[in-house]
Amino acid sequence: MTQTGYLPSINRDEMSLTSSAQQQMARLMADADSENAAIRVFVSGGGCGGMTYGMTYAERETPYDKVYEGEGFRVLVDVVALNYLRGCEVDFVQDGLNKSFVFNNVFQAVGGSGACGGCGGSGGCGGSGF
Amino acid sequence: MHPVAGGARVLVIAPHGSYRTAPFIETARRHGIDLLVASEGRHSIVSEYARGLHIDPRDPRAALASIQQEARRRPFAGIIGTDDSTAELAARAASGLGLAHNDPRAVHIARRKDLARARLAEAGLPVPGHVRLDLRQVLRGPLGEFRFPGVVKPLALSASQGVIRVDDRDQLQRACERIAAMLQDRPDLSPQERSSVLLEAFIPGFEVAVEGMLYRGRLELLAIFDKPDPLDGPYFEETYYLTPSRLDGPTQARLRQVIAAACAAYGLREGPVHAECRINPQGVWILEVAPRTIGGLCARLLRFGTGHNLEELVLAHAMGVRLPCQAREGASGVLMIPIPRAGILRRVEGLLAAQRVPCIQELQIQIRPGHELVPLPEGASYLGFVFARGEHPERVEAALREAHACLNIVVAPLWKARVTARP
Repeated sequence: MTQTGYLPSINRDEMSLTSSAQQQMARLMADADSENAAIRVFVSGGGCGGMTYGMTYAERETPYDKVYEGEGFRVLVDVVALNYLRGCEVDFVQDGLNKSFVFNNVFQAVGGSGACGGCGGSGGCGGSGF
Repeated sequence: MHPVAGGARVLVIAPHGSYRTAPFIETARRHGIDLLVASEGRHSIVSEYARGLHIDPRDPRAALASIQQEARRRPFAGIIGTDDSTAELAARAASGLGLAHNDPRAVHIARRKDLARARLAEAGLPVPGHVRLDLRQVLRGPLGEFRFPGVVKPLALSASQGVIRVDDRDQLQRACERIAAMLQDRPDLSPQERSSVLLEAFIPGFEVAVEGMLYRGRLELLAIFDKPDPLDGPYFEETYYLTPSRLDGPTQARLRQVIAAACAAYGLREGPVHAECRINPQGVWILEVAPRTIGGLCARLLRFGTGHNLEELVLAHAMGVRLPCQAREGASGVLMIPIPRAGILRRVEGLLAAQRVPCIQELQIQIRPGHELVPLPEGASYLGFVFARGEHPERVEAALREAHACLNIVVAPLWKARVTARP
């Protein structure tokens, strides 16, 4: 992983991870190729359907990232995305065969449901890269 | 294109972000045609959209009023709809202004797969067994005499989006659930188009795409593209297009005859036509006939002996001019680079090696690193295009396959998160 220098840490007011999420993050990192050294949490979109929230592996950090360090994993979030996530709790839940990450309390920063509801669409306005 | 140059004004109605807009802009600029783009792209960073006429395609009445107002300010010599979603509005606008046009009802029928099937059957053309299903009642709904395997498809999407092969009722149910989730997010579709699908019998056979132009109801064939890879499902991703076709003369003649009959059945009389057909021992089967040009960047394959391209033909036609046309010598082809799996595009390796393969003319990656890759059936974009030209279709196909083998598409996994407002 390319180190760009000291990265400020994400504090609990900005984003927290449940123990279940932390264990899953560590499992994902244990399974990752050597080029992947962190997990990036991102926010994209922002049209009528609201934001899309997700995660992927990161090869390198950027000067705009903050970091959450845990046992066996690092999570990177850029400061713009973090503004939309402020106060969010990342959880990992299993419901029968379905397993997924759930971001709780994500609308504390943006208000409402994250969607405008004006056109009935969801994500139809296109997304941006991350 | 001298007869149509010299400041004539043409309106191109395009969805914001259409692959087709840029080639029309470039062609118009080259010929001194004053081209205005109508779209919803008021805040676009592309100047032609931002400076163009801003319309809401979901409000056709208001869009028509805006177009008519603009035409009163300075008349148009022609109006073109670039894509399925804008062809009907273009037909209505051209009709209201007395310009060359298709009957808007014919355009609507061509876009709606269920109506198109019914019209072809009425005209006596070969049509696979089919039934329209309500997505809310797929398990309970009767299938009549329908026999699997089948193909389930949304009523009004294109580019194979949402098209899934189903071999039994369980697969049908799962496919419908998947399509229902896709259609939920499409406010551009009508309530019926969001709640219904067409189930039709799978037609085995060799698939071709055909590009043509209609002049007062008479079809002129521009190119037949062979699709050498089998398209048997479960999804129907386009990959290789090669022209000229290696089909024999009588089959090509029959293809032309059936497409012309389909155009007549729908009521299409003017402008570009893009058709998809399957050929098997039972004959030529229409999958689709659309009143638009070929999608993606594939129109680049068409260069004609008289020195003009597909956009020139379409612009000229819209202005009432018919350009002479004959196919150029040699062969050409395109590979629409398949998306290998869902995720985040990290990088595409091997681009230089692919570009160095003899006969390869151009390679374009359309999706930038860091963006999401969505494969079929949910996706509707290609990762990129590889173009080749050579002496024979066999040579072109081999070059495209060799170039594809050079590419290593690195995709990172994507875990989408559910979100809640619960603290």
